[in-house]
Amino acid sequence: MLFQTPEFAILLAVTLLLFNLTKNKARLRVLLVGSLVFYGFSGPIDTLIFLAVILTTFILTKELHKTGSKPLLVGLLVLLFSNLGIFKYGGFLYDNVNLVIGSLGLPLLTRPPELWLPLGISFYTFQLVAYSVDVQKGSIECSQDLTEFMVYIMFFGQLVAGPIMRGRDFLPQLRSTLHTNWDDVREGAFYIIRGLVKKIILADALSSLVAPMFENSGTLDHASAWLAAYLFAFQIYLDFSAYTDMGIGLGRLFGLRLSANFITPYLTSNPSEFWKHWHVTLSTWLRDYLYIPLGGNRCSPSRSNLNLLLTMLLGGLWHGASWTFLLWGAYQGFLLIAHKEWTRTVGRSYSIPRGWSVFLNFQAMALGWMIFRAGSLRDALRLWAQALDFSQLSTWGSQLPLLIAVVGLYTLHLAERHIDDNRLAIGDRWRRVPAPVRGLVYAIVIFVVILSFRPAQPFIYFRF
Amino acid sequence: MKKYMKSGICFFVVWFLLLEIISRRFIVNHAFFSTYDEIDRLNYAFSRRTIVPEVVYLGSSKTQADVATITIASNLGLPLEAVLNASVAAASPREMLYIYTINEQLFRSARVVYINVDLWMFNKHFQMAEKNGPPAWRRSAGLMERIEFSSDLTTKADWILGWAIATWDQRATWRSLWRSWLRNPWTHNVAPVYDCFGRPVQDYLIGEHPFLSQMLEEEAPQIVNSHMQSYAFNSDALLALEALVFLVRANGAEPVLLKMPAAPQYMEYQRANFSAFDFVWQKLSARFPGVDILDLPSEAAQLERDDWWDAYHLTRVGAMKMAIPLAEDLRKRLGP
Repeated sequence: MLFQTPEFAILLAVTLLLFNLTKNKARLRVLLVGSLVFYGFSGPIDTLIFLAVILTTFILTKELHKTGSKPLLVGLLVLLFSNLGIFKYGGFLYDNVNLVIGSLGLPLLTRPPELWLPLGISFYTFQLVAYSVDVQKGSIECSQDLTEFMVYIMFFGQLVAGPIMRGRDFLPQLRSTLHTNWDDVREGAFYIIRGLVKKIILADALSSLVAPMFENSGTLDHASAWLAAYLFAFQIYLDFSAYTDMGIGLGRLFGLRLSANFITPYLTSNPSEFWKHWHVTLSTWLRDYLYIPLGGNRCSPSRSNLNLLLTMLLGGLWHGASWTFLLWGAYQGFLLIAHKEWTRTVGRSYSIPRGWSVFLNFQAMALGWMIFRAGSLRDALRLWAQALDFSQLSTWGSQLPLLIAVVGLYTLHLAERHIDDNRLAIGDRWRRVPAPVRGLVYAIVIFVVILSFRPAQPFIYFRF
Repeated sequence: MKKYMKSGICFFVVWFLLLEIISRRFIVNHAFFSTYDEIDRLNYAFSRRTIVPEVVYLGSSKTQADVATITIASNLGLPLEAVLNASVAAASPREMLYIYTINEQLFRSARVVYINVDLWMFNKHFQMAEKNGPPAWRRSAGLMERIEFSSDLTTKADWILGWAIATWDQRATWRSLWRSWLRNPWTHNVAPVYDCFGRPVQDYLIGEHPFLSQMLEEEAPQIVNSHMQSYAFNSDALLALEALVFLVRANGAEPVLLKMPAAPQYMEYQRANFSAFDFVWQKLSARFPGVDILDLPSEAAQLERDDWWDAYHLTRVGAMKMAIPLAEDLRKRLGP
């Protein structure tokens, strides 16, 4: 079920009504039922698998809490990652193992049955892993209440595409009395409408521009390759951050605060800063549960760089079983290492003006998105070859409309930062605007969202 | 609730209700089975026409493809622009009435107005399989109908929300109107409206050669099923037809209800499976006692298998053949 669909609007209305008619623990049960219905739309088998994984984790983590047994934790992690691995990487592994076997002239393995990808599996697996590790370490209190635990994992605001909520941030909220006030409603409505505008008006419109460009990547010239990457950069940002915005807004309607996942990432000046602003909950997860356990930066510079590369490789692979994602992860790893080395050496005596570094960082990220979005490694390399062929600079001349579109999107990005940085002042000024005008603006926004609505396009991150 | 929030929300509700009134009172009247773009382009072409027609054909894609007005006019020795094909794809009587009303000034001079009728035009649920509730269906569907009509949960939720919020229900109509409002003479003229035989081509591609001649047996049931699916008699369509006939008569023209032939495979399958709906024909005869119903069988034009572009529409050659009986009928009506 997608947030921007009528069926979700109906589910939300019913859940909100029941939530406000009940009190205390009953509210948790309302949220659980709402979340079960929400996930149930993805199919009975997906739901059964999900419930089985949740129940197993709940039972085993209770045991972990009592014993602190490391082998039990390892067993649980193997179980969780196996579930993810079978569904997400089984086919990829099979294809590549057979490729190697075939090249050695050995008999090929029989193809396993085709598996689908259960909705949100990457997100809930990471959330469950984080919870299990934290319980074993004793850094969070183990949940003893199944309803509370299920709402923590299943809450529909964050279930399918994050943010990957940590137990320490989310469970205490569920343990206290859930209540909302008008500020929550106002903030919630603001985030939901912002998400709808980003998704329905902007991201979906961009998707119809971007898809044909990447589908015909072989025919793109220098300027078109860059423009395709810029437009996709904004499409994926708007699409994914729209989901998070709506998730945060939905959370607020039920008195829950979800973590921010995006902080205008294309205004960052280097790769390290970018990852503190892009999919924040995934990058902090990777840092806390992969990079630091691998040794982090408490080891030699070369080992620390290797840790970084491995972390980003796995981060890339988390997005999907494909060589393009792996290469994208490697590319991001190299960018982070290069930036780290630059800061350690040249950066001590020389600094690039921030405007230029933001511009260069955006170009570096756009090159990364070419790999990410390309249909295959060959397409990715072809796109890079075109983008880096600076003898074709004249091709920019025929691309003025798309260039204007990119500048427009970047201006919106700047405006978003301005709004986020000055929420209080803007809110104050907004409150002084006459009520009929405010009402009219709300109505126009909702009206444009309704008119822009076409058969719902799933969020890009749903497939991860 | 804080005072400033309350006032903002109150005014939002007021503005949104205003929008709802516009949607329910005005926008909904532009919700058609045909695409509004096509109707709009036709109306625009008529608004620029200087020669008034003597004969007008109103109908659907069937008449678009089958009525070659220039050939008919040549056969009768009339000026080429004296016979006008004013058909749009997927038109029921309501769409025809709309086109006639908008262009009444032009059509007033006509002496004969042929109005194509077919069973599917009176099916309330026409197009449901293809479009999951086109705006024209949503226009008149009540809550119980939306709940009871078979569809997946997602579509049903869409319909229920649309019942509550007409702006949501008619968003496609709003978009069409918006596009037509934004359009300028230059964009109107980009797409040709008529082919060289006087058939309105527009978005609908009229084939010159049999497209799927060898597949007629296979596709005829599909087309019939899509026309007749979940058949429910649409009394709105009958009222629209009455109004159209009344208007045509009021303007001094002779209305003729025109039944056009479909491929034998289509007719056989329809007869075998949907003969129960022949009551519509009886209803029409009873409702319009003084109006001629011209029933043209395919034999009248000596149509052959390769004259069918698909099981429902004629090729160019088929339309040439069909022009002969149509011209004959017209000759009788126009007199010497």
